[in-house]
Amino acid sequence: MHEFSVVSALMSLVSEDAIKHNADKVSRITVSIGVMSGIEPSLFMEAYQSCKKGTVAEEATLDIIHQEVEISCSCGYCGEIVGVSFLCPQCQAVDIDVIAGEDMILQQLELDVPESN
Amino acid sequence: MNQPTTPVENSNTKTVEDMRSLFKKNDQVADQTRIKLNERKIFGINLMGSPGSGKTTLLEGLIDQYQGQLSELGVLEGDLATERDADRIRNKGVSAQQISTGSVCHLSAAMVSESMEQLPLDDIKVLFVENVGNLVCPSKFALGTHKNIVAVSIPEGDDKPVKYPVMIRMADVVIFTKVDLLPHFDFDLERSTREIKEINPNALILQTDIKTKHGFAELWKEILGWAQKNDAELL
Ligand SMILES: Nc1nc2c(ncn2[C@@H]2O[C@H](COP(=O)(O)OP(=O)(O)O)[C@@H](O)[C@H]2O)c(=O)[nH]1
Ligand SMILES: [Mg+2]
Ligand SMILES: [Zn+2]
Repeated sequence: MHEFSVVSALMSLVSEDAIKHNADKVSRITVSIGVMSGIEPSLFMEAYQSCKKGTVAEEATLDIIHQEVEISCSCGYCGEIVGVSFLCPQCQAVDIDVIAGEDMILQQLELDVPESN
Repeated sequence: MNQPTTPVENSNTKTVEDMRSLFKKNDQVADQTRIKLNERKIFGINLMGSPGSGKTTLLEGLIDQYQGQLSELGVLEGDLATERDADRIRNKGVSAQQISTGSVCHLSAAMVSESMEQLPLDDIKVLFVENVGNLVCPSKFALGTHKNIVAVSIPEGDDKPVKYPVMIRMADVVIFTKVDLLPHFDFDLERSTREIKEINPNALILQTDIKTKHGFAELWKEILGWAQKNDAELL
C-alpha cells in the first residue's frame, strides 16, 4: 500500500507550511486526488488517520477532492476524456496536453495561528 | 487569503494555498539521480510489472545475448525480501545490487540513489532497475531512470492493461512476455494491444519469449537507440 509513502509526503509538506506560518495547529487539509494518480482515496484516508497522530495535524479534517482527467487540445477542446482513452474526444488527436487528473496535490490548509504579541 | 472564520482563543484561522504535488519530493531526488547518471553516461531503465511477469528472466535473456557486446550492464533488484534475483544476475557475471524494501511495495528515488553507489558505476553503460513486483504501487514513484518498461505476461490475462491503466500510462515500452504460452491461454493480443494504445498512444508495444529469444533483438535495439540519443543530447 503505497498510500503510506504519499501520506508521509503530505505530512512533511503540512508541517513545513505550519512552521512557515507560525501555526500551532492544522485544522483542515484539502487534497485533490487525480483519478489517474494511482492513489486510492479510501486507502489514503486510512493511512492518513493512522499517520496524523502526534503531529501538528492530529485534529485536522481531511477533505478529498476527486479530480477527473482533463486535457487540452490544439483544436480548442479543453475538458474531460472518455474513460481511459487519452485522446481528444472532439478531434481524436492523441497529441494532447493532460492538465489534470494524474497528480495528487495539497491544495489548501487551514491553520490556527496564535495572535502575535 | 485570510478568511474570517471562528476564532479559537487567542488564535486566528489562516487559510493557505499550497498547491504542491505529493510526488514532488520523490521527483526531486529522482531528478538528482538522473543528473548523476547523465554525468556518468549511464542510461537507466525502470522495469516494472507483476510478480512473476518475467522481469528477471527478461534481464537474464538480455545479458545472455548482449552483455559486453556494445554495452556493459548493471542491475538493481528491488524486492520485499531475499537476494535471489540479484544472485541470478550475478551468476551471469553482471554486477547486481539487491534493494530489500521490507514491507514497502515500491522502490523510491532515495532507495535507488543510495543503492546504485554500491555498483561499479564507472563500468556500467546501461543500468536496469527491476522494481518490486506490483502493477500498482511503483507507477508514480520516479526513480531517476530515463525510461520505463512494463512487462505484462500472457498468463496474467489480457485484461491487465485496462485494469491497471496508471501503470500503462507510465510505460515507454509495454512488453507482452511469455508469448510462447499464447496457445495455452485465451489471451486476445489484438484487443489488449488496442486497449494499451488507447491508454498510452505513445507506448511502444513489444513481445518476448525467453525460449526462442523472440523480441529480444528488437528490445535491445530500442534500448541502445535511447541510450545513444541521450548521450548525444548531453554533448
Ligand atoms: N514460458 C515462459 N516462461 C517464462 C518466460 N519468461 C519467464 N518465464 C517464467 O516465469 C517465471 C517468473 O519469472 P521471473 O523472471 O522470475 O519473474 P519476475 O518476478 O517478474 O522477475 C519463471 O518461472 C520463469 O521461468 C517466457 O518467456 N516463457
Ligand atoms: Mg524478479
Ligand atoms: Zn482536439
